[in-house]
Amino acid sequence: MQWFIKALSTSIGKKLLVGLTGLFLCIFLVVHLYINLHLLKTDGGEEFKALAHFMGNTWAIKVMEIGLFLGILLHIIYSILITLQNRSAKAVGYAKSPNPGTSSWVSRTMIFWGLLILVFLVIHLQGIYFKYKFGSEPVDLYVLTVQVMSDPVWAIVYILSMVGLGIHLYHGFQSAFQTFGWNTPKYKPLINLVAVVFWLGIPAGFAFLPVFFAFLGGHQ
Amino acid sequence: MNISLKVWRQRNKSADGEFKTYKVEEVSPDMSFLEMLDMLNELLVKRGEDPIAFDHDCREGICGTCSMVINGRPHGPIKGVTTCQLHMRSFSNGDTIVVEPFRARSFPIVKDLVVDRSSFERIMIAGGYVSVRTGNAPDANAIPINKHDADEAFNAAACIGCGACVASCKNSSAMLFVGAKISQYALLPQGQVEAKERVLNMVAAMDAEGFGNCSNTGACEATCPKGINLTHIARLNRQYTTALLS
Repeated sequence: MQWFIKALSTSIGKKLLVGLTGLFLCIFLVVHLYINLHLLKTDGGEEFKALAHFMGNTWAIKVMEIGLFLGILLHIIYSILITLQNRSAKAVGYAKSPNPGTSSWVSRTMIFWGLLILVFLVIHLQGIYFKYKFGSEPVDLYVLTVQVMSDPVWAIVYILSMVGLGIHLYHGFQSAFQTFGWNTPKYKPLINLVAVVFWLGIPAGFAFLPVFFAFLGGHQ
Repeated sequence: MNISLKVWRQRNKSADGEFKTYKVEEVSPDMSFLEMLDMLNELLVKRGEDPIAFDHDCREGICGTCSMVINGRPHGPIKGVTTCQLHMRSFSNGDTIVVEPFRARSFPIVKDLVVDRSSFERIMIAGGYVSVRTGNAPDANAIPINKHDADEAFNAAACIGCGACVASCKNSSAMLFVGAKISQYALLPQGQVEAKERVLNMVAAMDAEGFGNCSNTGACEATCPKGINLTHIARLNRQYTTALLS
């Protein structure tokens, strides 16, 4: 066990943890989007509510939920830790703009997009999840979600946050596979292809719902 | 050509440094960047001033000694060359060129443009070797090696340890250097005996020297004068994970 704890303090160990938790969160995004897309059905939210009930009342999912919050926490803590260490390792910057054109702006601004997603997460949990889970009065999750997404201001916040998520995943997804050591010439084209689903497909899917309810009239 | 040089001057490790501007006239476009600095230093000596300290040795692109950042880029604006191979014809008459030392906490400045890169040596001591029997050299073709692996190992071994990867990385990460050194042994049968200890020890030494963590920006690959690519970092990560779990 000691080797495991020691490994998590090394540079590659820390990055492995960020990559693994990041991929775990990516899987969560797929499940979340699958449930969210049921909002588009014209069944008055029956299937959406049934899925939400299943997610909230199955013991295996409840265990996964704890893992999810732990995953988010570790991903954030280790990312901030790595960023602080990286800043300290550079110490002094260059007078002349360093390395013009040698690295993408996305790869240099990962922590910013990550923190933006964190702010969104707090707003999102407070606005929907906590009200549904821990609110003093019973809440119809379908009505609450549609209500939030139909508000143009919240819709814009949701859409912009999904743009941030897309940018974060654009670098983060394939970067995780580089950290795992699988970004080889053989697998790189496949990883880049799957990456498109995550950085473009998933955020676009999430963003479509507030567009649908706030700007395309919803089910009316 | 007449050029203006804005050079970082720092008396010693603990002194505060500053940029000083020098006019250099009648520079031949065929001079290397280092020869131009030699010419400026001769002028400074004649004027009784302290010449600019900079590292250099082979002056043919293989020793990895010439370390400076020219206009924001280690080894200057031309891809695939070291500072000693950079010619003044790469600049224009009247240009102002900014020259700075490599910036990284693990490469402390010794004087002016000279930085202490012994941290790389300590990483190599930790595992950058293979143990072989001494005596007569065995026949080079006695051990069959796949051509792809031999070529990849050779490409990795082309790393001259100049430190441009660390200098260009926003995190001052040494992972391209360590990746290249791991790769050159990991791909060859001679490197298998100590493979596990090598990667664990070299990464531990890299961390102890205070280098940053790779965030996969690719600036190192873009500025490496020997074309070492990110595949070697992926191999380092793979080797490390395998060593951890085995």
